Amino acid sequence: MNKFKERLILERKIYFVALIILIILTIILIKKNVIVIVSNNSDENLLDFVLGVRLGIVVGCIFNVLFLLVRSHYTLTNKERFEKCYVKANDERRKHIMQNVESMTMKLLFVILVIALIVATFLNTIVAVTIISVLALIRIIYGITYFYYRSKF
Amino acid sequence: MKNKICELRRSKGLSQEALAKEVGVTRQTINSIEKGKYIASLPLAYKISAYFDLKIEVVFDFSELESDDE
Repeated sequence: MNKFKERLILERKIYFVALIILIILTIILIKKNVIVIVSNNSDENLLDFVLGVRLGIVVGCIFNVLFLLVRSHYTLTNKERFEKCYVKANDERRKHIMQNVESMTMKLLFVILVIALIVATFLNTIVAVTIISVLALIRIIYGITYFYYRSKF
Repeated sequence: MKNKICELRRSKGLSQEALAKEVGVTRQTINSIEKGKYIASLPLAYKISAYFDLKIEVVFDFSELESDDE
């Protein structure tokens, strides 16, 4: 249980630092008027759209991190919730489900990419090359992780 | 894999939730093990057996594995 508590404390620290970084980033973006520089040669509607999307992403990230920070703090301070989360985090059936979900997702992603590659070969060479690169990267990462876990267990 | 968890649990008057709390898993895990949908790991099987003060082979039925080997 101590390990879990230490992990939660570390998570809380990370969320706190991430929140500060995001707030500083937002202030810099607003103060330096990064978007205004683009505005000289841009369409007004496009500028509004870019501004909205950027602001939306940053505010969304801030609220998301804030939510995670409050949640981890609440978990650490509330004993009942802490025990519930501990059981949930260490439940072997849940871990088994997650492993299967991740493995199946990767397999399906690979199959979808192969189908996309076949289609893209007839339509666009650049897209086809990009898909081949992604597939190669997936296989390389698979190989590296396989050798890592083979030596580990 | 068949097991006697449900019988043992009922004989002690325990709910799935209470047993789950005792062995440190969720109620859903106990439910899945009882129904034979999920096979418990060795540490969890040991915990459950130790809780009922019985041997693992008494709580869990390994005859399926034995017949698979033959």
